[in-house]
Amino acid sequence: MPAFPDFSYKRDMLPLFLVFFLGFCYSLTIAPSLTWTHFSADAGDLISAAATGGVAHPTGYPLYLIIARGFQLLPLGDIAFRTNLLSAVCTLITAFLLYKYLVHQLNDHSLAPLISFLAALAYGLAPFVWGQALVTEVYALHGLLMMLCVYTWSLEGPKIGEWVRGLVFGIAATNHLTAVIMFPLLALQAEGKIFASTSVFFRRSLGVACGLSLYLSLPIRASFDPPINWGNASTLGGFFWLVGGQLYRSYLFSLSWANIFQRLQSFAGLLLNQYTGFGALIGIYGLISSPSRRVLIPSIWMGIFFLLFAISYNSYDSLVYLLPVWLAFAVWLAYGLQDILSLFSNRYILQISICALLFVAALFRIPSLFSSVDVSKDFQARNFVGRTVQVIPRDSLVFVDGNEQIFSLWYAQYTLHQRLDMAIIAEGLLPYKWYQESIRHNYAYLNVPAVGTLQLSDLLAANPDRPICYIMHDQPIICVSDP
Amino acid sequence: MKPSIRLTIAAVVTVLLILTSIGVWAAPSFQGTVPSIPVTGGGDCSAGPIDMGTALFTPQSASCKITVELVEDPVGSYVPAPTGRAFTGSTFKVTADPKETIVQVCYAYPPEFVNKHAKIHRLNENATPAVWVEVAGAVIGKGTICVTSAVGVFSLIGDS
Repeated sequence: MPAFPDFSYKRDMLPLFLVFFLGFCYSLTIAPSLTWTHFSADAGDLISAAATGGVAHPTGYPLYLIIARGFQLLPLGDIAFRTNLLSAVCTLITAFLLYKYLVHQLNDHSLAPLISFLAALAYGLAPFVWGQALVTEVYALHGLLMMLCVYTWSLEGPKIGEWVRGLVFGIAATNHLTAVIMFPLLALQAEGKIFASTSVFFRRSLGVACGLSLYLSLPIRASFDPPINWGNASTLGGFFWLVGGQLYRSYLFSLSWANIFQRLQSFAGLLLNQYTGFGALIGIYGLISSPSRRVLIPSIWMGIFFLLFAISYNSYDSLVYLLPVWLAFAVWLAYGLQDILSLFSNRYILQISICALLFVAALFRIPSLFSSVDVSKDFQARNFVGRTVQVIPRDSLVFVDGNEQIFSLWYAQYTLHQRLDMAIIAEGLLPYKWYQESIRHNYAYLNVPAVGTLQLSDLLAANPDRPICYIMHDQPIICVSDP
Repeated sequence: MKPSIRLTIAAVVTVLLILTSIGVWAAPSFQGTVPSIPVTGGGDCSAGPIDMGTALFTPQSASCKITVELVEDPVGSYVPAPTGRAFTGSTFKVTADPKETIVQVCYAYPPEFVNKHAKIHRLNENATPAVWVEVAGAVIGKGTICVTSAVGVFSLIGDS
């Protein structure tokens, strides 16, 4: 019988190949500028808030804004492209960490590097993950931080301090607040006793608090009166309104049972779309193949609770919260593959052939995925901005409805400094005091009446000499030059 | 658990997933980052026209009360536009006391709407099912299209 090959030298090559391969795919499909595709309607808000030292929509995303600003300083493409690049880099690091994590967890298996490579590749090529790697949104970074949480939780005690473990969880929640879903894991142990001791839990909690303190950067940013200043977090009430996501609380658990059932069915479709039927089979097989406790607990926790959240959250795009579920599934995929390959122990040529076959299958899938994820020629948002700044009359009062439209015009005005003469008014935000303060500050030339609940008609009446324009979801721009 | 049993369970679950999967992620109403606020206007008819942004409603009597409400989802709330046509402008529900109140409805009418041959339609709720009917006598000029009609549900419908 031939000797089992030593794959140890490939441990360095495989992750590099993984990153270069995924990086190549992402570089061919990344959005060259502002885009609305792949649920990135908020891109204009995030880019502009990062670029102007502002505060993005609830829950503020302080970590994202800081890192995005760093990327915006790169001398590459336009500022929107640079921010898109952050998502690509985050997804590449996630795939790399997933590989490292799986190699670490599967270390008793001789094919661990190959199995980990295939699972990380499947994650990186999952259409939803791929799509999020190409656009400006917080979810690619969220995926990376969830991976870090799982990784740090699973590391053996001496390798990482309990305080650092908590810090990672805390920092994760400063990108996307749903990371608090992972917090209960800090009360559990990866080995030994199920529950962490009081002192360990205390140290972890201290780390969480330190991580969460990054939210305090929001009041500081808000105090400089940036053009985008959601909630005006420089006040205590504004800070809690923003960070607590009060604006979206009504979206929680407000879905009917019929819709929840429909979403469960849709989740099945999405799962098959991410990993194919065969991938789903291996992943489910892996889940019930009894991975170790240090793998099973965080992956099941992450998978189940993010799935429940995505299904119960009543927004049209809540499927973006499934990204950690796809991450958990990639872990199970690795365990499933390991278990299946174990059925052919000592027949290493067959084992390697199966891995090679799966790699080829992944390669063959890429062309079909390209058309669904590719945003390299998506200029819809840029064309909208270009046309709008061209046709809107000078000194107009522009009432805008729709996330894509509002945030794209914020991007044009606050980031690109185009058409500073027009006052962009987001109708849906008019009732909020902080927004009224914002438009007073941003458009000092505008007469903003001091009324309790500011309405469109109040602004119209107070600014009778300005041309009025309306921009609504799918309708043409309507301008009334003689109001 | 034996691998064969695990494999069977995984296969059954996968088949179930394939059989039950659908493509639509349920989202009963558009709830995005910027909240949609209910847009309503109205009051005593003697107060004059009600400006709803892209449309203006002028009661033809001074002794009435009128309410104009933006309809976010005309298809879901009422019926789709006639075959080959589409909702080009916003839809408004106009109610008044007395119910017989006549109102002039004017929509902003940019060239894009002209090219789509958009016309003001009123929902005939007495028909079963309800049907959108073009309001006759439209006056087009100065970037607006206006009709005069009894109160009801109005929309600007053009070529799709």
